[in-house]
Amino acid sequence: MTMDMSRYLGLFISEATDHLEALGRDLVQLERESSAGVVDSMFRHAHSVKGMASSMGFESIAILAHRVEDLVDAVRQDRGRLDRDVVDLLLTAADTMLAQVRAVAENTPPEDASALLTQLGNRVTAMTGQALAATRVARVTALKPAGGSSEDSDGSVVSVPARTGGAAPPAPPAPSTGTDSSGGVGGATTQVGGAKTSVEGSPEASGASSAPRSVVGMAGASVVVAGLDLPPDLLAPVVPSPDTAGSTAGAPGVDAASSAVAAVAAAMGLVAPATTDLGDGLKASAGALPVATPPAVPDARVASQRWAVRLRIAPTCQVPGVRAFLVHKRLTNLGSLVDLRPALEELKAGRIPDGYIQLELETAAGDAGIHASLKNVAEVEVISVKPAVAAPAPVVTPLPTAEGNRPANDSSSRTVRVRTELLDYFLDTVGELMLATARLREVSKVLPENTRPALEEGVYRLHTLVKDLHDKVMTARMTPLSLITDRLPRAARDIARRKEREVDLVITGAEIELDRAILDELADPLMHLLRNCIDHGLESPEERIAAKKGPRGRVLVAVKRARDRVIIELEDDGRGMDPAKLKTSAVAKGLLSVENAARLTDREAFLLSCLPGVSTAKDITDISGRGVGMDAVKRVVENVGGTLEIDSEKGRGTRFTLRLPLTVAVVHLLLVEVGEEVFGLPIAKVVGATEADGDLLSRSRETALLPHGNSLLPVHSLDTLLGVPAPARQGARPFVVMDADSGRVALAVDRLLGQEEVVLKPLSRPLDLLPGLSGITILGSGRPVFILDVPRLLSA
Amino acid sequence: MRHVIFRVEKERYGLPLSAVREVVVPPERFTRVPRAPPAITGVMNLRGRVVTVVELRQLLSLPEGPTPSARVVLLDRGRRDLGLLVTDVDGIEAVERVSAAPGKLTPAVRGVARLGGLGVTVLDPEGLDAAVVALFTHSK
Repeated sequence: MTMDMSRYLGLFISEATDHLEALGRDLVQLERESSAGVVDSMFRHAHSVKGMASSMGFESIAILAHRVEDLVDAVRQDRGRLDRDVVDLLLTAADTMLAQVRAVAENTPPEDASALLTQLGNRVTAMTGQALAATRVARVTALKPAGGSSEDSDGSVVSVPARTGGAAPPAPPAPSTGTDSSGGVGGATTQVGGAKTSVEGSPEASGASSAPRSVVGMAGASVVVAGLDLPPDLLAPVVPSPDTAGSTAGAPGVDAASSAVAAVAAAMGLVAPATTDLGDGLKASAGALPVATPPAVPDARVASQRWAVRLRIAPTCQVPGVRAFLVHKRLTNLGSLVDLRPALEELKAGRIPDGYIQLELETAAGDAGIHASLKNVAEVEVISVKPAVAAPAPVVTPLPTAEGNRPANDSSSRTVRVRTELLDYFLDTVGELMLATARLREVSKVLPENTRPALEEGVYRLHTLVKDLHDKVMTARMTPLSLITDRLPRAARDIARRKEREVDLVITGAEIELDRAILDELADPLMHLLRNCIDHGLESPEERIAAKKGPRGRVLVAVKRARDRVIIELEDDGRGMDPAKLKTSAVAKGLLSVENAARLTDREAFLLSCLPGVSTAKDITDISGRGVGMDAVKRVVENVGGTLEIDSEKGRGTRFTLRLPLTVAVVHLLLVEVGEEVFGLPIAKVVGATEADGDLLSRSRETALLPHGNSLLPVHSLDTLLGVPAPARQGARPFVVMDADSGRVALAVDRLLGQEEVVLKPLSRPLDLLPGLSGITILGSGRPVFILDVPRLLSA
Repeated sequence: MRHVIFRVEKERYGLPLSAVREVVVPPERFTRVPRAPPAITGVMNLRGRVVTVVELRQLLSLPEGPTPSARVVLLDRGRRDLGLLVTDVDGIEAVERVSAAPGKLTPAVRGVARLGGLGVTVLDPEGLDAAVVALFTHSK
């Protein structure tokens, strides 16, 4: 891949991935409640992927996206056609495309999707009751005047007449022909489909694989010809004269044609083809079209009328480009769009001065039809629909583009995409700045009195600035939880289908933001908890009915913000957990004494499920129970500075509550010295500290016991736990009492150094492979200090 | 290709220049990494970054012995901050023909080359990386 393309590759990968993930979400949503908006959205996603993939030259993705588009279109015409199998098929296709995009990213060959393509094709055929061929012949002829159309007759359906006269048979929803499989940009997109499918049929046929642009250029040209060539007499008088349109000189027809070509090509995300292409296209299709569409021509002349339409997109609209595109698509379904201002590429980019769009449309649908077709487009107001018969006086003088562009550009530059590594780098660097500042402050302490104030003042100022910068960087890193919760519905569906459960997943508060670093860590635990809820928490529909519950289980994911914490609750209405069974299991595994077990509250008992191997699930299902992986969930939550709580009521359900800090960057530590080394213990886990003579402690099976409150805590020597050499000690020494997984423990240390608030750095490879370390920080003295994960240290 | 040539005691080694970020003087003391394999010297603070320093001698399973170490060669491995403790750095030389290394095959060694009449062991940065990760995973 050349440098030039690779610059766009990253963007392609991230955007295509976004679209495909959104497609998956739409599918899952659609299965729950069928709505036209969702189908449209799916269509848009498939369409965008197709456009991007073909402009980048990734044929296989584009072909697949095209087939998906066909199938979605079939669904759009009749939503009753959507069943689980279709959803499965479309999900598989979305997954395959994602895998292909990933393959592109990793520069590996994409997986073969020919079987999937056939399946998709068959589905479309089965649904629409027609083979994927039809009027394509005409277009193929236009593309390749030499003929040879027969071998690629499997392409999508494009009805040229629909675009030529506007009065051609297929009315907007076009149930019979599948005409508008690509909607607005209609002709153009399906053309690409055509070009691509011909590649599929005979790879060398059009040379598209090596030069997709030129093929599309041709295709675009031929569509415009379809729109303009046939009724020249109808068109000529109504094309805006050069002065009113403020456009360039030259034959108006050609001008409009070339701008339409540009618009069509732009819609594809491609460069506008050269005018020579247009010329060729004109000639080629001039010969070809009449053959294909003789009956359409007279109809068009009789019924079609020209309308001037003014629209406004609500100023509050967040996605003006999408709305405008939708408008464009709806209207091209009705007939042919002759004049469109701003141009389609501007519209798609959301550059719409004040939200006003004006256009002229030739259609037989009438003003009622136009109104009807735009009725469901949200945030779009139809200002006027007037017949534009003779010389149409422009309703509004279009704003000069230069002026009109500025505010729109401002709005589009309000947000930018930033690579996450860059954000990580910012945080690293600003953290280092903080450390450097702390170092300067240390240095200033040893300076002579007379020079100190000046330096201290500078350091103070620096500190304020750096702290402010740190805050800003942290803000930039805040990412909505939807980034991970968006994946849950799909996962829930898959798990539920596999387990033959019925489940409704409700997610609230996903817009709440968390630091990226925490978010990244949370993806797996949340998925695990969800799996737990559906797999083990929810009963089968039969069991549920027997328990007088609705057959459909419910999993609620609620995200809330409480001061400086984010709370995530995952709640199912399933069978719940039995604390007694958990205790028995833990005792049987030797993780807990019978007396300690008896003393645990229910809530503490539920947390036993986080100990490796403890589970109640075995006596409920034959599948491994909650014990697997819950320890990992708890560890991750605690490593980012959060807590996990489990609440459950037998027969009523289970609730997991994750309390998380907004950011991970700053942690409170108790610094302790062991031998010559210093370590940090998270204050959150420290219960207290006491001093005792190690030799005088009573022992049980070699383990020393420290009296604390009214219990005896097992003592662990931190030097042996960590493998750090430390001289043997006599007499009194400090012990730190900490919370660990199965109760409190006492850690013998050499010295307590005090508390400190530090900037935590995650461990980079290979340090992250070591168990028992949760991070590292650099003290003001410049010394790196490890932060210990005591429970892991004890268990590993 | 240009290589950074350094020594571990008397033996000479080379790493592609593109794989080396910089060469620094080791700090007075390293922070010991708890539970780490013995080849890990420790971590050091390099202008606010935490760098894991590995003793090359042990990584390449050379006979035990004290390494009088004067330099840390920092590898340019993206966000992985890895340094090699070496005796000294000789300079940058062009190394052209690399032939198979004698003895046991290890991923960290790409081969040997002749440089100014003397042999130099050419190391493979990817392999070194893998070897360090392997140290950690095997020790468990």
